[in-house]
Amino acid sequence: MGEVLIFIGCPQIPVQSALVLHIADFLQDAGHHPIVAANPSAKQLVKTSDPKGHYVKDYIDLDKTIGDLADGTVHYPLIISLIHNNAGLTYTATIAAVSPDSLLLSVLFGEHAYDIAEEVEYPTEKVVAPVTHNTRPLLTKLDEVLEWAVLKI
Amino acid sequence: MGCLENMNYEVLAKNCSFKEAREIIKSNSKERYQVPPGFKLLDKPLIGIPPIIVGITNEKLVYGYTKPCHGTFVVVVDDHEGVEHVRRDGKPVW
Repeated sequence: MGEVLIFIGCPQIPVQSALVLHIADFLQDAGHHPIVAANPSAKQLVKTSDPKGHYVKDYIDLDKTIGDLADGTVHYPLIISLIHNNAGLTYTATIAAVSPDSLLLSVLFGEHAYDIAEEVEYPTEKVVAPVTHNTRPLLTKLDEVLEWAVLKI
Repeated sequence: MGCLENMNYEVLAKNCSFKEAREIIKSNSKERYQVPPGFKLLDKPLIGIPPIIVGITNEKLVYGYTKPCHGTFVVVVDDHEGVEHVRRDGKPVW
């Protein structure tokens, strides 16, 4: 089974780190190896919640990930991007452009999730809920899409 | 090559959307070039929604610089190598 990239942005919204661990747990159960691309503060929050690396063992830098995808030195069959602001949308659109053969899931959350989701113009499967502290409204749809996605890769 | 922080640069706009940044770049550049996402300036890949526009004015680069927590900045950077790289490898647009 292959590596799956979980791409995360600014850690300002509390649900983000919890979603990372939830997705990583799902991927491991499905036999895949989750790798988290994050900036230093977002990485630190996830590592603090998972100090022994039960869920996530490998982290990489956001900009290095974009560069490696653009150079073709790495490829991930499935990329799951967590988005809650315009910068997250911009990063994810970049991923769609530099890695067109990947199956791309966009998980949109935070206060402006619906507004940001309307701006998505790249090919992706979207999971959207305007949650900040409570993951529950997002999880049912997220799990459904993850089950479908791991069957596609 | 080096880090943006080590270069002479000014910030034209900050915390804007990528589309807003594109218009600011166009209106502040004498030459405009289209480059692909991942195009490297100062060793960092450009983040952006295609078409990504990089401008040149007074032999300085004008482009969008996106940070995860702060949105997109439009910066003017004194980077001669970058200017040559963009003129050589970018696609001129008007």
